[in-house]
Amino acid sequence: MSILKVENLKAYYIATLYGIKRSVRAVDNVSLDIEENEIFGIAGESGCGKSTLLKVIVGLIKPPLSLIGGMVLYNSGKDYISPFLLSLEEFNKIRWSFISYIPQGSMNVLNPTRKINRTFWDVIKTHGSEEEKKNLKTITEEHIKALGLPLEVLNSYPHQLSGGMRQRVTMALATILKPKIIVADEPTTALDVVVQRGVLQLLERIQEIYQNTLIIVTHDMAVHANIAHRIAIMYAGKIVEVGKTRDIFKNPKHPYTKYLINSLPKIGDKSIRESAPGAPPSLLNPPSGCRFHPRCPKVMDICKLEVPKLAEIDSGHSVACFLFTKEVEEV
Amino acid sequence: MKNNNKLLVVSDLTKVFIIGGRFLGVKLVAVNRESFDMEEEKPEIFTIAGESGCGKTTLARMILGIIEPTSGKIFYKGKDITKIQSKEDRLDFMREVQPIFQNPFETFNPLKRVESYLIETAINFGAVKNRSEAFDRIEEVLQLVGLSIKEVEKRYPHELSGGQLQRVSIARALITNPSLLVADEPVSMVDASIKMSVVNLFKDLKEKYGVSVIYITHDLATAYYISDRIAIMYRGNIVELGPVEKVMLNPLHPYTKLLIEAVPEPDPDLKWKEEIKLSAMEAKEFAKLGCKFSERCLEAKERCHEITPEKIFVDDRWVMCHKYK
Ligand SMILES: Nc1ncnc2c1ncn2[C@@H]1O[C@H](COP(=O)(O)OP(=O)(O)OP(=O)(O)O)[C@@H](O)[C@H]1O
Ligand SMILES: Nc1ncnc2c1ncn2[C@@H]1O[C@H](COP(=O)(O)OP(=O)(O)OP(=O)(O)O)[C@@H](O)[C@H]1O
Ligand code: SF4
Ligand code: SF4
Ligand SMILES: [Mg+2]
Ligand SMILES: [Mg+2]
Repeated sequence: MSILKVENLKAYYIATLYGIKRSVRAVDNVSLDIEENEIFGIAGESGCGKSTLLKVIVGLIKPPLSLIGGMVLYNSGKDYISPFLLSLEEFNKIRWSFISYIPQGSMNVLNPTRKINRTFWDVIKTHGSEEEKKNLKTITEEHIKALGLPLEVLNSYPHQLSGGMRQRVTMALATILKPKIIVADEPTTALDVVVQRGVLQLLERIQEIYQNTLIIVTHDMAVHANIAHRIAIMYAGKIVEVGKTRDIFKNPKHPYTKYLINSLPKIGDKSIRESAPGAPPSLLNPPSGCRFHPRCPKVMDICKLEVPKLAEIDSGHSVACFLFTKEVEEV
Repeated sequence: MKNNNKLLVVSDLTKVFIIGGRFLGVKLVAVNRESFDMEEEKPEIFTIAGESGCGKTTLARMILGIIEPTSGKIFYKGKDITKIQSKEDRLDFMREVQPIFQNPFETFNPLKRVESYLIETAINFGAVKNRSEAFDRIEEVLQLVGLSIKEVEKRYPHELSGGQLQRVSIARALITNPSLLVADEPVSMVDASIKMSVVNLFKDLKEKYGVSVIYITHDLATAYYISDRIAIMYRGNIVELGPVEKVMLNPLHPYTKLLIEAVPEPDPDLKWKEEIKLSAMEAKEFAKLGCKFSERCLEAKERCHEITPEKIFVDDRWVMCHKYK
């Protein structure tokens, strides 16, 4: 059963410079179906729109970002609700308890003047149920214990914890009200690999205990290989391939995905690695047709004219590329 | 000490931070009496890797002269950089040793066009005499990083991608013909493809133009790919230092072993298996007696908790561990 549906989503950054209106097409016609109880990875080039997509999914749309079209739907179990159609008050109710968002660089968001347990209590007080509010102390302690973190962190100030521990505390905080969906943006970027592994283990553990859905964005393919069940590859504001983790790594279809997988260096191997040729596209003025066409070694005439539609080519494996599909996206 | 023929000598360098107030605060020794050097004649890529918060950035900032060491010395081409007094000498030093930071967007002024910022840099450093010379110089350095003025002309930083901007920031660093680049996590924010273009660029700069690079990173696969030597830091100390093949393919220090084993493989068939143990209270570890890794080390003996290990030269590299005594 899908817990989150994204349909033809378009979100652009709109800026006016010298009186000329310009839009950065960061999310351009994206559709996704995310299942209950899965770890869904989103990968792609720097600046391709990953963080923007997450922001829109959790309903955080502030200027200059604006919603141009499409829909995001959450399956609450009873019916579908959309963050775009909720009042601020209703939205605040589901934030943390239904969907929880861990932004990029979040380990610095913990309040430096408050002990960690206070921060947990604040969240429970603002977003929890009456029942949860009554038991805020026990809930916090049990949660920390269940996640295998030392209880003494609760009595610490953020600066007393290492970056890796702060990051794990942020994850614990995001899941204190057992949300159905957790959305994490680059949760391990800029951490050493040992700490990174600890943080990811924690995320897996949370997912196992609460059977919720985890959406994780990172450009680090090794992280996806280790924890994602399914992966979406994004290029220039669009999803170009979606599939099971194994299929993406062992049988990538889209020429861009192939570059992404093959450019990865390995310890013990000093052979020259080439990066994808050409420059990443501008989202202000993206290339016509398939956005990868100026860099694609397999480019055909149709690629410059039409936009390939994301289409299923194998069970659970979809690609947007004319090598595999004739379907054209309507613009 | 013989400093001849050395590009850089870091000697007994220490940085102490006081955290949590000047009187009640605790001392945090972010870099603990560390030493290493780099040859002038033999350009190299020297990687510093290690635990988050182990002191890599602090070390880099001391080498760049951005922060002052608490004690110890740094010699650049035989000159003690902590003693630089005159503005001229400082400018000279800055021309020779250039930084590259993690976030290229912070290197640039968001309100200035990229090319005018580059031109100003060229003029301010006295690398050129006038604007037209500046233009030529900038075209030259942009070519080196695989770009051209045409591609960046009239653009503001946010109008370039992270990878392009990181290349431009390397171009900026090259304007003055430096002998040493100090790059602090230059690729941690970018995807694999840009990452490879940046590290390939470092390799080229070393091989073709004799530029040495101090490469600070968490990305051990790229470190292996480009470096000559690597230093692994843990809680303020370099615990292992040697040729990259030796250290990474056959690590000796228990922390290096743990670090190398934790490198995730980009292959779903080679997923991690066992759980990993992390330290909870970092600040306490910094203040610990004996080996700072002893709480987590599976091979720790009694003396490890009491006596700080010395550095020992084994199998071509320095190791700071009692095991090898
Ligand atoms: N406030 C803004 N105004 C204008 N453009 C923006 C703004 N924020 C982001 N962008 C642009 O939107 C595009 C998508 O940005 P986004 O942050 O979603 O990328 P990303 O895939 O998360 O990249 P990264 O891997 O670097 O985190 C980029 O080209 C970026 O320059
Ligand atoms: N200005 C400062 N005041 C107090 N403590 C500091 C200061 N700068 C750094 N520290 C502390 O010194 C230690 C080393 O920090 P540093 O930034 O050098 O680590 P790092 O190895 O670069 O870490 P990372 O891998 O996370 O970038 C950390 O515990 C940090 O909290
Ligand atoms: S649609 Fe054409 S240009 Fe685009 S990836 Fe496929 S072959 Fe290449
Ligand atoms: S000195 Fe002892 S505790 Fe430290 S790394 Fe070596 S064996 Fe382990
Ligand atoms: Mg992002
Ligand atoms: Mg650092």
